[in-house]
Amino acid sequence: MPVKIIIDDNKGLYQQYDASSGGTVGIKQSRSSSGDAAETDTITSGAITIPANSVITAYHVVVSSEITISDACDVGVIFGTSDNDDSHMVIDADSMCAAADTITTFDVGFGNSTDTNISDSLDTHDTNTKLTALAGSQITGNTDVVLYGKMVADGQTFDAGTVQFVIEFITFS
Amino acid sequence: MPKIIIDDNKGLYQTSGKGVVGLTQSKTVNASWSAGTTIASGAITIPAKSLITAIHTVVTSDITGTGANTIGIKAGTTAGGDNIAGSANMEIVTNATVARKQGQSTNSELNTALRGSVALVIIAGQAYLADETDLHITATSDGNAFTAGALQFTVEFITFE
Repeated sequence: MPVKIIIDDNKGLYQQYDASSGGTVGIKQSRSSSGDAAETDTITSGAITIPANSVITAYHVVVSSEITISDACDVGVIFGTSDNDDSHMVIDADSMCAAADTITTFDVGFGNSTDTNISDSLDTHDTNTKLTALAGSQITGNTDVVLYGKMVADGQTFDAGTVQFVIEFITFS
Repeated sequence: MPKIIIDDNKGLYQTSGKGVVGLTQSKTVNASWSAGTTIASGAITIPAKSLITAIHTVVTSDITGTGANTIGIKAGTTAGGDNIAGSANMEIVTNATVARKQGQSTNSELNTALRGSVALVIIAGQAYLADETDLHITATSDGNAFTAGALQFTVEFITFE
């Protein structure tokens, strides 16, 4: 499917893409996908396609609908492919919060990032630890890479809520 | 209705509409001093479901004052407000002039490059905007009034799908 550029009153200018679509050369890009709680121990994004010949510059996660957890636990974030779910960011089990923080609700606006300043600005509960991208995995090769973000609760379930998973990247000319 | 323009000076730019999904965006305003102890951006509209990733301030025309000042930068959702980022010093002025090209940022490395005294900090929990929001950035002298100058205020953000 060719890239489709759409202009409307709600989103302004945006690009509709699928797994075979390129991005934009000359501008830093971002793609995001949300994941909903489903009474399991993970919240998983939809597919986020990073075009070939791109370097990933940042990952962010933001709670966009209040999350409730069955009980306090370690909560972390990973990014990876469908075959290897931590190929781009391995788990830091308590990067969002630790069991000892006794949190069972994530407010809207709580989140985390690989950028120190953004991580701090999303740390509503004063519990997060900055995310760290996996060294050596942040440049795509000659083909597109489809990534998924996951929020992982250790031994508990996410009972409600939504998370936005965001990846920033630059596509080479 | 969004209007997309391409010209030789700015390249591709948008003059109205809700922004862009799929790009890291920025909106920027150049504000000149007109009176008193403040220079204000006016409203910078950020689309709904956006994450503010940075705020920058750059002196584009020498700022002069009637005497030595400490200049603070703050950001809020109302004119002169500070509920997004509390006041942080851009410059402690000892000679009543802040030269063009200096500034401040929420990004530590950029703040250093701009010679900001203290990096601006977005208040935890304020970076995500669920609804369309007007952002106001204000530079304030803690004492003597400004007499001239201009600042470029920039907000970087990502709008979710």
